[in-house]
Amino acid sequence: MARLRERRAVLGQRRRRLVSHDLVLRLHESGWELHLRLDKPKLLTGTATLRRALTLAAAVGVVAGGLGHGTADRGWLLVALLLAAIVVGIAQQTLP
Amino acid sequence: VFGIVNADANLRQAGSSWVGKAIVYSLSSGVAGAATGALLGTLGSWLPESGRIAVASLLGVAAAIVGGGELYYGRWRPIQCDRETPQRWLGAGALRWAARNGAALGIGATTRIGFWLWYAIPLAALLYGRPALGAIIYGLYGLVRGGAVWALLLGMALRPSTTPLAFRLLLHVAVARTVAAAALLALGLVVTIVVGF
Repeated sequence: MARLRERRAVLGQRRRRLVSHDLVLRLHESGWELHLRLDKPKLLTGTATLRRALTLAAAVGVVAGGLGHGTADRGWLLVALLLAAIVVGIAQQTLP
Repeated sequence: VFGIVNADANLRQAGSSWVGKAIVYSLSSGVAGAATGALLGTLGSWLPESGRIAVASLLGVAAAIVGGGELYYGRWRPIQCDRETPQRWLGAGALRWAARNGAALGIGATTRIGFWLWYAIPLAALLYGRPALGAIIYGLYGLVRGGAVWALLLGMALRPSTTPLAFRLLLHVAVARTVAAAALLALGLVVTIVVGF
């Protein structure tokens, strides 16, 4: 039984590796095709990393926001707002 | 871009310089954004600071929730007019169209907004309560939205394609949504940390 579980785990790992390999190959072959087929961008490794980083940042932010209560430098707020202005200005170029 | 490269005589665009149109369009967008930001900043300065801080802290948490929700659970449609600038404006003449269209997009409220992140721009200009900062934040947005036309025209010249530009841009909408949602979440967190709750 233990061996069977072990084999299943190995097979599962191989399958995951194959899937990610397939995605990478498609990316090299045709970038457009990847965008069209992957309507769920969460499959992209970069997005997954971004999500993980933001989850951590969210946890830190909520704790820091609760404890800090307005002690941080307001300069950061202006930087974040200017970045937001740039991001949304560029992102809106993709709208029909 | 359609309006800028348009040379249709029926639309009074024949013989018009695309460079002139692009300059007027991008400048108009930036100036309209800056003027709106300054106006909102002035309006904000009349509101009590404690009230602005309280609203900003609540909006910071809301931004983090909406940004996180979009990032993890998919798209939530923003409240918007959801319309393009009217094509009949082209009939007003090349430079008039450029100025009017640029201003409409630089202000953004009456056009297709597309992303919750957009709301951060007018709200920040209002809640900061400082006309100069409002003009800088909103003006930068207008300048980027209008000025992007130069990057698009350059891209069209350097990488010619048989696929229409609109389709090529549409292919990036999913990535743009992810990045905008991430930026909204990050902004919400920064507001929460800086302003507190």
